[in-house]
Amino acid sequence: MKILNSASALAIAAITFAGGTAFAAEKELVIFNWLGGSERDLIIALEEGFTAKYPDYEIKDINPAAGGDDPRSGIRSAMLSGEEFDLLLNTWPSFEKELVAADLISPIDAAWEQYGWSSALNDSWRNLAKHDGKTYGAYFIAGNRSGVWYRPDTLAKAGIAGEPTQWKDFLSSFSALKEIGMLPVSIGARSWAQTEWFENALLRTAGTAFAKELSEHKVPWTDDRVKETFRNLRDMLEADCCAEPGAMLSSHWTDAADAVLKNKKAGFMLIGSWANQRAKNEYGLTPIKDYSYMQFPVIKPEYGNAMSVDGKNFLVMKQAKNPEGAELFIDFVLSKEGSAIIAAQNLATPSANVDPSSYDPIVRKYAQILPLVDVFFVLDDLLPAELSGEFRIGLQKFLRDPSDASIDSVTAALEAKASELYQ
Amino acid sequence: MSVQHGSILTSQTQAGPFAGLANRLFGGNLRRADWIAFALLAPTLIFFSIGVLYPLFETIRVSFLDWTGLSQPKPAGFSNYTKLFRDANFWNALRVTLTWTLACTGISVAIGWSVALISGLAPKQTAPFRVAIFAAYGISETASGLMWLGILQPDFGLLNGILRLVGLEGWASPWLGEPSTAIWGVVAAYVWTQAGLPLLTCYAAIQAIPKSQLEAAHMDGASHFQILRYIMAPLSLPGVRIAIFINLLNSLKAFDMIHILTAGGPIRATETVGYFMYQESVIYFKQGYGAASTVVLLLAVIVCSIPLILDKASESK
Amino acid sequence: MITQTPKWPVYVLGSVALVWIIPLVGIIAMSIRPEGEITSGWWTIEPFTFTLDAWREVWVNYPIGRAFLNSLAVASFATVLPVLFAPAAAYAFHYLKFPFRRILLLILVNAFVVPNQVVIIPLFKLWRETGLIDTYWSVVIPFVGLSFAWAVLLVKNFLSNFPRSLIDAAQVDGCGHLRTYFFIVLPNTITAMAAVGILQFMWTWNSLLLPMLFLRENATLPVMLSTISGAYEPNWDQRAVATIITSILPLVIFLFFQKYFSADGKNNSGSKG
Repeated sequence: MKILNSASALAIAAITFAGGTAFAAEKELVIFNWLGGSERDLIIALEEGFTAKYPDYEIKDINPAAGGDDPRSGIRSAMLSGEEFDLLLNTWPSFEKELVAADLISPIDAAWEQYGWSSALNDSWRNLAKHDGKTYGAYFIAGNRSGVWYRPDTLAKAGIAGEPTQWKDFLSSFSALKEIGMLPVSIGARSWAQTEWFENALLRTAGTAFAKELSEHKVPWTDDRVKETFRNLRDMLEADCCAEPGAMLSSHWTDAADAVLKNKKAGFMLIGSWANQRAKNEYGLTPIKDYSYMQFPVIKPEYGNAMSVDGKNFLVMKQAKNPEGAELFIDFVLSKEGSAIIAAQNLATPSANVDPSSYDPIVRKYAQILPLVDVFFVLDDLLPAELSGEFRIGLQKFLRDPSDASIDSVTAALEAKASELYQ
Repeated sequence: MSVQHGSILTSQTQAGPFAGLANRLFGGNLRRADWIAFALLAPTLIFFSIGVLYPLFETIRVSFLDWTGLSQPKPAGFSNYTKLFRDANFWNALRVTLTWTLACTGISVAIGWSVALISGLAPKQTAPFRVAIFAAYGISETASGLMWLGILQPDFGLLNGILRLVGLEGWASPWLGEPSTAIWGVVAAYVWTQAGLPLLTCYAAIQAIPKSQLEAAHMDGASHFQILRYIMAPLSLPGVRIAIFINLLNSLKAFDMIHILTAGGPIRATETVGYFMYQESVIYFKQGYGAASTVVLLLAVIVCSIPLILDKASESK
Repeated sequence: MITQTPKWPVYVLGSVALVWIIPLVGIIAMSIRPEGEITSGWWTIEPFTFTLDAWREVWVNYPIGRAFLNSLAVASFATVLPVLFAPAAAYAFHYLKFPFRRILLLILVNAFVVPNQVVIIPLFKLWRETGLIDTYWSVVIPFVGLSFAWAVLLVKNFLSNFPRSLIDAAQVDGCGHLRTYFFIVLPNTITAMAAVGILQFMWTWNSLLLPMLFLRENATLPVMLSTISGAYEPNWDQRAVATIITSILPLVIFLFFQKYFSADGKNNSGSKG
């Protein structure tokens, strides 16, 4: 973490040096930044980079120390009580939709054309933040949510030659892992990490177009393709992939990461690209050499190109006192300088202005395929919060009992909740 | 008691300086004693009104609104309440709450009281143990939760580690991952944080027993157990009562511990009404619905506590 | 105290207290070991590396001193006020008869169950409108308000053991209720007030939700330390340090005041019955 900080500090220093003399700040930009830990450091670094380049701006960073697990509650409370800010950091498309519906954020299409952001972001990223034909956000961080992490030495020990990129090979690799006394797959299903398995299996079973329809409730949850996804996951459970349900339901993704990457007790785990930070900073491992990941194994070849992603963008508030400054900040974040700060913090940006060679090898591995694949935003963040709650519990029920009857009742419960919520 | 007391009060009925205003305000005949009563109560009532009553009235008002997410609130009549009673998850939460509060209160008070009684026999020598148990009370629920996670975790948890060490491997279990055992895991952790209070109140009550009384019993040849059973136990009852009250209501509000250990899961096995409220109003941001569940919980508590408070009220007159 | 002290209570309580001591040892162990080791259980011995990295990180990265003073201010105000006012209210409820007495007591006591989540949004609005946001009052007022529920009951409970003869005697001597309260009852409720004070101090000191939302510049210790764990970095070792730092003061205060709980019943001597 220290090294990263000094790296970005260097970048800032360089920019300051190039930017020339500092002026007294005249314009204020208020940013609502609810992140914690090293991600918060990144936002601060971006803010410092911005004020270094545009010295007549002063940035006020509101950090509600959200501590809890869903920062949306803190954001909503702040908004309801009349907190005023120009830019809001966001990571949930479903929340974006809520903000659009409540008429709280402004579209940024005019700025998009004015600054020519299309040269930085392709249309698939722009579409992720489009609601009713208007663009509301520009993604500046992109994460891989389809990475199945493993240790190369574990696979070598089990005699698994190469990554099992096909579903069949993946399932048949389990017996080799069990022979060397390892749990094939570790799933931390205590709260939400089980959804990653379903979402990726869904993309590989039914493709992104179907997933989009499902997220908008244009197809019911009782659709056979949803059930087929469950049945594919059942194949995995029946191949004896995992620990007993109770162990899955009481562990976090962090426990899964510990088991696979650090303690060498399990073979594979599925989690977002932030596992890289944990492996590097907390386990002290060397990327690629000690640990790596493959994309979720291909179930149906026609959907082999699908990839689950997450991302963060800034939204311009309707009440913004300084909308021009807000747009200028977005432009900075997507620019070469902004991208360099992001890359220095070991995160990937979808902006074309980034220099890919500055990435960490793990980040580079997925950043390179980003422009080539069919991206779909992580489903759990697209669903209304209440449906997402039911979704997580439904998957817990499925892990305990993967029978056909259980699949029917889980999908029926999801459908009932969805039809109540979407109307 | 009330007879002599009443006579004192009625003898002081001369009007105070603000009696006129007060009489108009309260519409009745306020005596001087009433004035004194309200003067004594005034600071309490002022803080209470701003810090509690006002938000509470807001909650009641919001419970009659359809207010979800960031949309504009709309009047909703009783629909939040009727929906609540048809919500299977709410009923589940009520069931879990009942088990949870009774278990947490019962066990923590039983432990605290027993420790207080036993340590009453050897107060000096057992002082460090009392301090250790009470120290847990000074640690935040969040921090205690993290510690207990380390104890109950399936692979590296201390509990399973000990079971494996002593050859009871078959007993090792993912305590927090099985819906049937998860609640008891959280109860254990919560009792750990809460037992300090009954210990404190009961021990204070035992210490208040006049030394002479204990010595006299000892002279009369009473055994330690008899002193414990017939003198200390009954005389520490006021401490037990206050501890039951505080721990009962505290466990009704418990949130952080559940949040850290199980987050209401697995499959809603540890979802108390407090947690349900949090989920509905904070996570799902269904303000009206969450408020309605708060009001229902509050009514339930009021109904349950009326006998307790009325008894105490009549007792004192 | 009993003339002959038996041995068995020491053994019994010693083994019970182990259950409390072991996790406390765990916290200390977590704070002095690298995080990589404690994620496989703080109690594992192999390998055991001693390090003060977590302490250093917390010390360097967080303005502990300032947050400590903020916490102290908030907890002290929130403790002193109920300690002063709750006995008065308890006296009124216990000895006086006045209109709405029962209903007031009922409302007051039941407010104990009001969860902090309920007061957040209404008070947030109120504080913004009155400019009290980010002042100590924004948390002290609800803390004090919520405390009366149990504090009044606790003192009232104590008063039910209070020798009535003393009060009656005072009133026969011509003392009014105010004088009886100030000169007879108040000096003798120190035990109850100490209990209220200790509990309230511990609760307000450790509370997270209200200070987190209402205080910005004046963040308290738990709020500041809650930012230690990012969404993706649990930082267990630093959190253990935070727990220790936060718990020290309440513990010291408890140790200091605990003599009030073991006062040898002198207040009640000869008046029990």
